[in-house]
Order: sequence, then C-alpha cells, then structure tokens
Amino acid sequence: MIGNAISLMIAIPLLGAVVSFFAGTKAKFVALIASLIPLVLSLQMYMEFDKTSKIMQFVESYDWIPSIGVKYTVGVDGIGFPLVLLSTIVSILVIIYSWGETSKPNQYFALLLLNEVGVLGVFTSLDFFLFYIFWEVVLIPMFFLIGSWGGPRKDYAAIKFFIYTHVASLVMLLAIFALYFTYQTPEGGRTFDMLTLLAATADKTIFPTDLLNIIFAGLLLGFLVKMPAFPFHTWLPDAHVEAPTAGSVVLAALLLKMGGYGLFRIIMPMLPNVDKAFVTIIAIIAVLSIVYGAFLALAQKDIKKLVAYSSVSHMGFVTLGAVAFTWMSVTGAMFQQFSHGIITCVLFMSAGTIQHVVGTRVIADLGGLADRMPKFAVLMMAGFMASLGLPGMSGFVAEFMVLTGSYATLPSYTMIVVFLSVATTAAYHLWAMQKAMFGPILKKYMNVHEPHAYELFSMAMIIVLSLIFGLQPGLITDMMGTAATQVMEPVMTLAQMGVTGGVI
Amino acid sequence: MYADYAYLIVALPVLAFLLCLFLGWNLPRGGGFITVLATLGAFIVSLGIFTETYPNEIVHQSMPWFANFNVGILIDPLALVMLLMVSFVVTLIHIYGNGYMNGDPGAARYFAEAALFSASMLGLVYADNLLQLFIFWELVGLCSYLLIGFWYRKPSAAAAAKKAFLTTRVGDVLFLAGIILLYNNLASLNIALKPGEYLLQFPIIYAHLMEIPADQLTLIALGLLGGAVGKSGQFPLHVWLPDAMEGPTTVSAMIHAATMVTAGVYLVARMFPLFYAAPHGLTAVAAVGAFTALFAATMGLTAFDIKRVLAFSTVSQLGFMMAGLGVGAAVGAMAVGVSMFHLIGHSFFKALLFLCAGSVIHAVNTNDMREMGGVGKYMKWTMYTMLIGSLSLAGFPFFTGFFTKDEIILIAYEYGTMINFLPYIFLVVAAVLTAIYTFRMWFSVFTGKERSNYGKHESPWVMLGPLVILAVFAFGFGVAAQGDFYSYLDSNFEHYDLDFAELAVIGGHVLEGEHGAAEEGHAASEEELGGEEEHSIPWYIHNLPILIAIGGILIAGLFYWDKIKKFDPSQVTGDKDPLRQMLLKGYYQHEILTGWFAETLVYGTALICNVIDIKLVDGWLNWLSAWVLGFAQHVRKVQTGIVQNYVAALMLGVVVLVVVISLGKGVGLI
Amino acid sequence: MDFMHYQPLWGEALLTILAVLIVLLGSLMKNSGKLMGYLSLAGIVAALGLVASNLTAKPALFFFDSISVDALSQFFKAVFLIVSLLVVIASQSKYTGKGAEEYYALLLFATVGMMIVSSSIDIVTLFVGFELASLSTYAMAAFDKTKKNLEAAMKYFIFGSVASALMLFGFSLLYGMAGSTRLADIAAASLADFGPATLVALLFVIVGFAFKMALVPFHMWAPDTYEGAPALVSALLAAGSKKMGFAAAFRVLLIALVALRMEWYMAFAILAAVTMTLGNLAACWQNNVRRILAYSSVAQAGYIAIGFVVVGAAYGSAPVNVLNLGAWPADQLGIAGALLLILGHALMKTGAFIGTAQVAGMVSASSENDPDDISNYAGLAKRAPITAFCMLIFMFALAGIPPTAGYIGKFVLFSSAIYAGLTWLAVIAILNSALSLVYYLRIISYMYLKAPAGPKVAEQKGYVAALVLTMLAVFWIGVFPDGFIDWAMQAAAVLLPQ
Repeated sequence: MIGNAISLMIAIPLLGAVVSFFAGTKAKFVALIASLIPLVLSLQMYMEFDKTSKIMQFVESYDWIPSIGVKYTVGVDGIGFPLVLLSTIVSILVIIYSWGETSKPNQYFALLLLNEVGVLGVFTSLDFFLFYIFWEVVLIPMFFLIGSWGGPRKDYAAIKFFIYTHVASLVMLLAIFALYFTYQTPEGGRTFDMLTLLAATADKTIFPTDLLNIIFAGLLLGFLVKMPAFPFHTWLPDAHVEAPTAGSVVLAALLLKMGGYGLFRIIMPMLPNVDKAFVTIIAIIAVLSIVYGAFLALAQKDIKKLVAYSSVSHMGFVTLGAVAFTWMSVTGAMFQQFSHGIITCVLFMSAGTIQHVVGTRVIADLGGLADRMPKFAVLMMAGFMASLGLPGMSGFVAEFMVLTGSYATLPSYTMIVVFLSVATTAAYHLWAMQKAMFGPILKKYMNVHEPHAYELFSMAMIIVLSLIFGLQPGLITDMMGTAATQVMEPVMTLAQMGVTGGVI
Repeated sequence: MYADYAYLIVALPVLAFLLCLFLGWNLPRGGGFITVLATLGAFIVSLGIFTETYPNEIVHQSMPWFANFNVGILIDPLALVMLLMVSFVVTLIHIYGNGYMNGDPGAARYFAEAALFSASMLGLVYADNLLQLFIFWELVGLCSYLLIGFWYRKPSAAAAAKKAFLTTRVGDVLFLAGIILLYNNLASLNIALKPGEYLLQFPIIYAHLMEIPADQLTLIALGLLGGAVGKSGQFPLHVWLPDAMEGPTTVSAMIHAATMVTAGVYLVARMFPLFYAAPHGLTAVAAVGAFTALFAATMGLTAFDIKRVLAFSTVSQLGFMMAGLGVGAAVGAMAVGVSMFHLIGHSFFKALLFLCAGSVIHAVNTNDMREMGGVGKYMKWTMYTMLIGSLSLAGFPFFTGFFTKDEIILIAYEYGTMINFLPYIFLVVAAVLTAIYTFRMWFSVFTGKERSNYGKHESPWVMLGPLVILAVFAFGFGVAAQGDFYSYLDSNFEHYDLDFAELAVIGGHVLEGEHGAAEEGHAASEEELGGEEEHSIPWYIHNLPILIAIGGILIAGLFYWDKIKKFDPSQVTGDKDPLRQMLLKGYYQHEILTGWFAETLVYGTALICNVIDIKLVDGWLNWLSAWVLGFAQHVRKVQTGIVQNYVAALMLGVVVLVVVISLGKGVGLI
Repeated sequence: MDFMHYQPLWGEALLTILAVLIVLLGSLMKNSGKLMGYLSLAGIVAALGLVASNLTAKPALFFFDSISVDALSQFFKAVFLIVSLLVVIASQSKYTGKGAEEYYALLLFATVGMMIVSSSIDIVTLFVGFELASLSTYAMAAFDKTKKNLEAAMKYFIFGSVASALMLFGFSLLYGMAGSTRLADIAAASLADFGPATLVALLFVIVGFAFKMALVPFHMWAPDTYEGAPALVSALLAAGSKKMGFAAAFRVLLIALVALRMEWYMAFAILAAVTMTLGNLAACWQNNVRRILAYSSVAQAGYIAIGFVVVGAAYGSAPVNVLNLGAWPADQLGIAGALLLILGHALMKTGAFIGTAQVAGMVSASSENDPDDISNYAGLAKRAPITAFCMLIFMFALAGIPPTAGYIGKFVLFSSAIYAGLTWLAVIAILNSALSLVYYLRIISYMYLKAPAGPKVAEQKGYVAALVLTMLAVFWIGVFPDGFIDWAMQAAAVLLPQ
C-alpha cells in the first residue's frame, strides 16, 4: 500500500494552491491536477481499506512539538475515511464546475485547493493540536471566497461567518486545554493525542463528571455551530446567499461535515460519561433543527436560501442519529453526512446556474425554465428528488436508517420528526421546482439556454454518485457500520490499537 | 425455470427506461415499441412462473442489501395475480400509447417514464419485504408525478402533479411511521434469524405477529392504512386523483385506474394478517372503504369532464375493494380473494373505459361531455367496447363487474349480520349510483344529437386493438376465473406459518363456527362455498345486485337517453341547487385542504418561523454586536489627545491600583 | 583584565563603540547615510550572532553582580536585536540622506539600552539602561521633524519622564528599605518585612512599568505616539522599547518583590483584563491604521500581562489547581507563554509598522490626505501584492489564527491560564481575541476585498526585504515552535526558585 498516503493527500493540494496562485489563467489546469491526485489516492485507499477492522488505518505519526506533547498523527477509520472520500470527490467536481471562472482565477482555484487541504486535515488528524490548526485554517479560504467573489452584502456575510465560527472554535479550544491539562500520560507528560485523551475521559478518577460536563459543553458548542444546528445556524444563510456557487458548495458539502465529524469522533465517545441531561438537550436541538429548518426553507423567497435552510434541516438528522446512540441510527447519521455532502452540491450548483443563466434567484420571478434548459431541468429535478429523500437515492437510505434507529431510544422525538418534517421537506422542494422550472416559459426568459457542459457534467456526476450509493449503500455503510460498533464500545487509543510511531 | 428469471420482470422495463431516456429521441415514436416489448417480456415471464407454480407453490428469492435489510422476490398467489394483471394491462396500454402519443415531441420522455413506472409497479408487487415495497411505492409515486406533469408547460398540469405527490406523501408519512414502528417492534423481539432471513420480510412479519403487543399492532395497522389511503385515493386523501387527469389519458388509464392506485389495496391485502390481528384495524379499513365508495360516487354524478367521471368512479371502486378487505373481520382471509378479484376485474374494465374515453377525446378534442353527443355514429368500435366496459362497471349480470363487485356486497352483508350493517348499506347505495353515473356518461357521449362540431373519425387500429382485447376480458374474466380465483387466492396465506384462529383472538374477532367453516370452505372448493352461502344469505339479498344494476341503467336512460328520455336533469336539480354546487365543487375539499390547510396553516407557520428566525435567533446576535461596537465608540472618545485628560485617567488608575493592592493584603495604606 | 571573561557582553560593547564611531564619522564625512546604515546593520548582525552563540547561557554575573547574562537576558536581547535588525533593514529605503547617521546612532544606543535593561539585576543599572533607551527614542520619535512628529515626541517625552520619575521614586524606596540596590538583597529585605512603605514602592514601580508597557489606563501616550512618530520608529517603540518594560518588570517583580506577589498578582489581573478589553474596543472604530495597530499592541500588552497573573497565582509550582498533576509548573509555563507572545508580537508589530511605512511612502507621493488612513489600503493586494500579503499574515497572526507565531504565543499563554485555574481570565482573553478580529478583518477586507485606491506601485526594496523576513519568521515560529517553546521555558526558569 501507499506510504504516507494521507500526508501526500494533504500536501499535494497545498502545493497546488501555491502553484496555481502564480499560474495566472492556467490556474484551473493546475487545480484540476492537484485535486485529481488526491482523488486517485483516496480511491486507492478505498481499495486497500479494511472495512472490518476497528483500528485506525494509514496511520502516520511523528513527533512535532515534543516539548508540549504535540505529535503529527494522522489516520482514518470508518468515521473519517468516507468524509475524506467525499472531500476529494467534491473538491474536483467543484473545480470542474467553476471551470469558467474568469475573475482572479488564480486566487479562486488556489483558495478552493486550500479549502481541500483544510478539510482533509480535519478529517484525518488524530492530534487535537493538529486538528485545531486545520479547523481554523479552513476559515481563511472560505472568508476570501465569500468576501471577494460574493454578492452585494459579502463583507457582512464573510466577517459574520468568520467571527461566529471562530468564537465557537475558541470555546472548543478552551475545552481542549482542559482535556490536555487534566490528563497526564503514564510517563508523566502531557499529550494532545485525540484517542488517548478521549479514552481517558471514561475514567471518573481523572475526569470527574462535573468537570467533564464543562469540557463536553465546550466541545459540543464548537461542533454544533459548525453543523450548524439550531439556534446557532444563522450565520449559514447569510454566508450561502452571498457566497459564490463554488463557495456555497464547498461550505455546505464539506465545512458543515466538520461539525458532524466532531460529533462522531469526539462527542460520542464522551457521551456515555457526561450528564444524561445532555442527551435530551442535543435531541431537542436536533429535532428543532430538522423541523424548524424545514419550515424555514418553506418560507424562503430566494432559492439559494431555501437550499441553505434545507441543509440545516438535513444536518439535523446527523445530530439526531448521533445522539440516539443505536447502531443503526449512528450508521445512518454517518451516511447522512456523506449523502448530504453529495446531494447538496447539485442543489447549490442548480441555484448557482439559475443565478448566472437567468440572472435572478428569486423563485417568484422564475418560471418555465425547463422549456429552455431541459437537460438542466432533469438534473435539477433529480437533485431535488434526492434531497427530499426519494428512495433509490442516497438521501432516503440515510434518513430511513436514522429514523428507524432513533426510534428505539428516542421514540417521541423521532415521531415528531417523521410527522412534521417528511412532508414539509417534499413540499418546499416541489414548490420551488414547480415555480422555477415548470409552467409556461416567461417571455423574458425566451432566450436563456442550457448552461455550460462542464456545469452539467459535474451535476450529472453527483446524481450518478447519489444513485450508486442509494442503490448500493453497502459500498460505504459497511465501514461506517464497523465504526459505529466501535463508537458504541469505549474508544481505543492508538497504543491499544498496537499502533506505534512512524509510518504504519 | 422461469422463476430463475423472475428478476427480469423488473429488469426489462428498467432497461427500456434507460434505452428510451437516452436513445428514444432518435427512434420512431420515441421508441415506444421498446417499452411494449419490455412489458410484454415481463408478462411472459410472469405467465411462465404462473404455469410453473400453479396451484400451490411460491417463489422466494432474497439477497442481502445493506445494514440489516435485503432485496428479495416473493411470488405467491397474491403477488402473481397482480403481476399477471399489471404486466398484461400495462402492455396493452403501451401499445395503445404508441398510437395515442404519436407525434408528441415528448414521446421519448413519455415512454421512458412509462417504462420506469412499469418497472416500479411490478417491483412493488413482488417485493419480499416491506422496505423494498415502500421504495417501489415511492417510485411509482414519482412516476405518477412525472407523468401527471407530462405536459409541464400547462400550469394546471404542473400544479396537479405537485398536488398528487404531496397528498400521497402525507399518506406515505404514516406508512413510514408504520414501518419504523413495525421494525422496532420486531427488533425488540430479538428473533433468532437464520441466514437469508431479515426482519422486514413478509414471512418473518407473519410468523411473529402473535408476539407483538396488540396496541402496537393497531398503531402499525393504522400507519399502513394511512399509506394505502393516500395511494388509493381514499377519503380524505382522494383529492389528488381527479386532478391527476391532467396527464395523458393513457397515464390515467395505466396509473390512475388500472395499476398504481390499486397499490394501496394491495398493501392492505398483503398485510391482511396484521390488520386482522390488530384490534379495530379492519374496522377502520371497512369504514374508510365504504364511506369513500359512496362519497366518490356522488361526485361522479355531477362531473362533466368524462375523465373526471371515470376518476371518481375509480375512487369509488377502490372504496369497494377497501371495504371488501375491511369486512374480512367477519369472513376472515377469504376477503382477500374477494377484494383482489374485484381489483383485477376492475383494472380490466376501468382501463378499457379510460382507453375508450381517450379514443373519444383523441377524436373529439374535448373532455367535456356537454360538447359531445352522438359520437357513436362515427366511432362504432369505441362505442361498443365502451358499452361493455360500462355494463361491467355497472355490474350488469354476467359481466365481470357483476361477479366481482357483487361478491363484495354479499360479504358486506355477512359482515352486517355479524357486526354492523353500515358498510353494506353504503355499498348498496354506491352501487346504484355507479350504474347511474356510468350510463349517464355513456348515453350523453354516444347517443343523442351532436352538441358541438367536433372531429369525426374512428381511432387507428393500434388503439382499437387493445380496446377489443380489454373488452373481451372486461366481459369474460369474471365468469371464467370466478371459481379457481377464490381457491387460488385463499390458499395464499397457507404458505406462511400463521394461524388465523389465533390472530382472530388477538384481533378480538368473533368467528362463529360456520364462518370458520366458510373460510375452510373457500379454501377447499367452490361447490361447498356455494352451498353454504345459500343458507347464510337469503335469496333476495343474493339477487338485489341484478336489480340495482338494471335499475340504475334505466334511471340513467330516463334522464340521458333520447330514445326513452322522460326527465330533464335541470328540472330535477337547477344550477343554483346548493347540493349540486357542493357536488360540483367536490365537497369544497380543495378549499379546505389546499386553501385552508396547506396555504394558510402550513405556509403560515413557515412565515412565522421565518420572522422568529430573523428577529430573534439572529436578532440577538446583531443586537449584541451593535451594542459592543456602540460601546467601542464611547471607548474611542476617551482618547482625546489632551494631556490633562490623560493625567486624570492616570490618577484614576493609580487610585484603583491602591485600592486593589491594599485590598489584596488587607493593610490600609493611608 | 580578562578580555574573554566579558565575552557575553561583547555585543553591547560592539554596538556602543559602533554608535560612537558612527557619530564621529558622520560629522567628518558628507552624506554618509548609506554607509552608516550598512555599518549598523553589520554591527547588529554581529551582536545577534554573539547572542545566538549561547542562547541559553548559564547565569553569569558581571560588574559587581549588577549585570547577569542568562537565558532570560539572552531571550530579550535576541528580541530587541531582531527588532532593531528589521528596523535597520527597512531604514535602508528611508534614512539614507543627510543626518541619517544620527538616526542610526540613536537606534544603536536605544538597542544597547534595551539590552542592558534585559540583563541588569540591579535597580540602578536597570534605570540607567532604561533612560539610555528612552532618551534615544525620544529623539528618534521627532526625527522627521514634521508637526505630528514633534507632538508625538512631546507626549512620549512627558509621559516617559513621568514614568521614569515614578519608577525612580519606587526604586529609591526599595533602596531605603533594603539598603542595597541589588534585586537579590531587596528580595531578602522584602521577605523579612514589608510594611506600607514596600507597598507604596510596589505601587510606584508597577505604575512606572505600566507606563512603559502601555497598560490601560497608563497607555494614553501610546496611540498618539505610534501614530505621530515616524513609522519605523513606531515599530521600534511598539515592538522594542515597550517589551523593555516587560523585561524589567519580570526581573523586579519576580526577584525583588516576589514576597508581595499576592498584591501585584491582583493588580495585574485587573490591569490585564481592562487593558485587553479597552484596547480592542478602542481599535474597532479607528480609521488610522497605525492607530489601530497602536491599540492592538495595547491589547496585546494586556494578553502578555496575563503572564504576570499566572506567575503570581501559581508561583513556586505548588499545585495551584486541584487538577494540576503538572509535567512542568504552571508559573514557568505562564512566563514562557508571555515570552513567546513577546517574541511573536515583536515580530508581527515590527512587520505591520514597516508595512504602514511602505503604504505611507506610496501615498504621500500621490495624495496629501493622512497617509495612514485606512482608505489608502483599499485594494493594496493589487497595488503592492507582497506588502499586502505580508500584512495579511501579520493581521491573522495578531488575531491568533494558526499556524503563526501569534497563535503559538496565545496558545501557550492562555493554556497556562487555564492550567493555573484562572479560567475566567482565559475566557476574557479568548473573547477579546475574537473581538479583535473585527478590526484585523477590517484591514484585511480593505486590502483584499476593496477596489484599488490607485495604480500599482513599485515596492521599496528595504521594506520588502524586512517584511518578507518577518513574515517567514512568523510562519517559522508557528510551524516549528518546539525549539522556541523550550527556549522560553529555560528563560522562564531563570526567574523561578530552582
């Protein structure tokens, strides 16, 4: 197998970012290559990935800042790897989608690559220090994507996005400090090693429950804001509405997943040891996010804002599945992360394409576009169907698993979700579709035309993926299932996994 | 040997879907022949399986899918009759469609979607587990959405499509809830599953019904019923079905008459043991069915759009089938046979009626019966085939409808004798109305003088052919299949490990010996059945249906057949008549459901949420930042640049430090 | 006398001699600015080399135990020399003409003063060093002789001398109490007894230092001065002479007045919290970039002051917080954090001010409005890409975004606060660094998101060199902090009982 696969995967886009920054108008080719290599790598990794083993795979571990016990440790398991795959796939598709970008293309593609670096780092790093660095690094490209390619209120949106999420991550950082200083390694030193610290949280003598509650709350806030979950979601619509299409896609498809990843990797192992009240709180937050998000989407005038709120609603399923803490719900929630990551791309791409082909995103002003852009209409329709949970596409499988699994532990919450959200979700999707695409073509749009081939291509690719994973979820749910069983058990540290320093 | 190719029943249409979708644009007639061939293949395979398994074998194949779910094929009598009917009718309709859609620019899209529909419907029928059934259930819903909105440039079509999808979706929510409940109940039983067995497989469900708590069973049953109500257009979710006529007539015939709408009935039949075991489960089914049967029939009386008349009649007939299952509370599993018999028969004559209507519309270019009249002169074939269909629907003796519908009425009577007469009464009245509105339609379309100047020509043979074939079945199926059909269907649940006697105990049904016997009787053979029915049902009840049919036709004739016309409808009910208005408006259900519920309640809630989000959830944040920055303004003003102020601040600072330090130690400084 | 014995002090000696030489030569030769620049550059590099040769020196005492060369002094010397080095490099593109030699001489004298302060363990030596540095910088602040310069220099001078006066008064009290000027003796005496007199001394000493460190409310001079003085001088003041205050404070408070740590710990807790909060708030609405930077450095001083609080709270590495199973004591970590932030801030601020010098140079040529007005930074990314990029990095670093020097400093410092059980202070600090994003992002969005305010311009070589060097250093510390953390730890150990 490939040595240092993960480091390569992180390093190449970083290099690509630098190169494409100086590549001028050739940037897009650089970007394509620099995002293609990680894709190939991740597919190779998928081939070699042992879906049944519960231990971290492709682990690399080197000393970085021994004086404070920081190691450069990366590795993936069933929690992280699907998201790595997602990141590499989405990144390249986004780059293809924005092939026609003409304003400052070099910076544009450089930032997209930088973004890929950040998310890949977050999904693979097993050291809190490293994790936090990548976590923060991700903010910067997104800030510039929104800020310099964004819409009319871009400054407001960019700064709100940056500060809102930054505050949350700082709170998370405090919690990390607390973990770090409370636990001491047998050798008497300190460590930022994620798995070791998480394993230690199970020990009441080191982490008394009331201390752990505080730490837990801090971490939880950091992740819920990123998800984003009610009531911390309000940065998302602004960011989405102002962001350029590629920005929105990356934001919804990858950045939000960081929050969910945090839930599985860090929150769930601690959940059994903290105050049980947290379960109720998180469950309520999840249900509110799903239902309230769906109703909000129903009320939107701007198709992009509608999609943004639909993300809030869909990410709620991740929270619900995670907190329900049954094997099926957790697996489903992990799959929901993956599936929403795919599907939301096509939604935002549709919104973006409508924006630049027709010139407006206000649903009320649209009408009959299917008449002029049938191919696009088919793809958009497929995307919306996938998003409203049509069986045969990935979204349904995920949400079905989450709901079925959650009922066992959180029956009433689950039923509320089923009754209030499922139909509503269908309602806003269909309403938007019908208003925008169907009916007689409006006079003023007589001369609109199909979008560029590369836009259609990347949308089509996503539909295909959604179908593949909808018809054969096992491709990815197998490793998720293994990870879920492992989350159910107490976490194992790298040491317990028999992983030592150096490349494994 | 055929059984090994069972997967082809779905695979072939799917293939056709892909071919039409990607190549159809360049093929003659949008590649319609591909779809025809595919469904024909499906029919042949089904037929082959039938010949192999009849009378007492079943096919069950299954393979793992993901998590702990599987995909599988379960072909038992119940599924097989559906398979045969669906593939057969659908094939005919596709043939007809080749003529009907000829020249439509979207023909390829039509045949692609039609093929996808056929695949989904067939898949739904022989799914071996509830999840798979639900998936295909949703897919047929999608196809119905796509095909209703086939002419998407028509706003009314797009709206109708959306309405159909959302209304059925409401039912599906309940269905989904039911599945979740069922799954969790089964899971909590910790069943030791053998390899190849999965929780949601029907055999497993049947086998463990006894162990599930009764109240849970009722909840599950109601959930599933909700799904059925949505799909089969039962009250109160029937509103979408009449609007669904916006689609091409072939679609109405295929989806909204013959096949998809019967899926709800099929679901209840498939889960009959569960409904039977669930206390009050079947009561709910009977109530819904009987009420809908009458309710829809009344609306059928007043509609002017020929397709809407048929749509209402479909709703009403589906009500009959539901009721037929519901009264199973009294007669046990034989209800499934009875109901399914009507389902199959109905799909023949209703498809026939729709296709005839299509043929008429194709020539006349209007749906409005007020602009037709005397069409018979020009469209003999259509007229007579449609006559057969109508007689069958009205339940005229020795036509299919006579055997199928009236059997339901009879068991409803048995139900009455034991439990409650309401369903029986409702069904009888509904039957009368059925006869009336059917012939109101037939007379006012084909007889009388021409009320407008319409196209005058018979349809091409590619359309008439299917009509003739269907007409044969619409007439002959009943009398031909009657006996064996019952025995075959009643044997259905004997393939599984369940005992209706025990279920009856859970469900709290009083099974008197003779009805217990009745059940056996059906299962065993037909003479016995006849024999014991004789003494259980008085002769006048037995022959009432004949009276109903003939009487209804006569009444219709007196109003609408110029040869024997005695009354003018307007004399009976003026346009101002509030009752007539209400029926025309379909009991104002559009105003209530769309206007009040959807637009006011749901959308209103959404708007309120939006305000809350902007003003509160986001508001506090903006308020905070505004406050901080406002405060910052003041802080900035402190820095005046004037040295005196600085010195003042300095002194202040010193004082503070003094206080702090002295406090820190508790030693007074001055 | 043993020449080699004084090897650790060669640096100071070299620079002093060089300064004198420059004055003499300057008076002899005509416009020798350039040459002088190179000379002082060479000198500083040499001195830096000497310091680098033993970064973690074993403590060695000189001149009757008035000077101590140890890890701490080396650390500060390194900081000061780096700052001067960058300033000198940048100066190559500004001070080359007539009278430049004076500038370089003053710069060198200031540097020497700071170096003396950093290693003096005797209040008299300390004061001398202080004054040497201060007086030279007073002069430098007025160097361009514009109206703004003079006003700034004036304010700086007034408050500087007030500070010195208060400090001196405090020192005299200490001397009176201990009968010796050596910190060690004072420590012994203050341990023996401290009555009100000691407290008064402490008060004055703190106020004096607070002036130098520009802690609220003794910061008033800083914004006006940093805004008014020549940009490069502001760099020296903000990054250099300000840190001198910390160097002195560490020694005096932790060696001489450690017995009173409960008192000054309280005082610094308040000062730190108020300073960072008000500093950040005041920075939000400024339109003059150098003023923003000034307030930001006030705020940063507030963060650094946390170091004192942590030390005061956790002094002597006794387990201060119930969960403390310390691998290393919290107090050491606290000082180390402060030192790291001092190092990081010195770099970032020097860079930032050099950046403003660059921009001011671009503008004052074209327009006559305030050269430091933020509107001049619009579209800087297009006009002066390298400068803009370096500024971008400095802004993010100041805001504490990883992986930069600023992040490492804050990381260690705030974590030490948590470690010492001062969660409330850490929370305030964290919220503040979030608040500070408001104005850092404002500058960034001007540079990168706004339309250019003018055509592309040629960037001054000296400035660019200094900027790029600084930027690389900031990244270097951020990515490979290990060595620096170790170094800071050892430096911190000097101040703590072994």
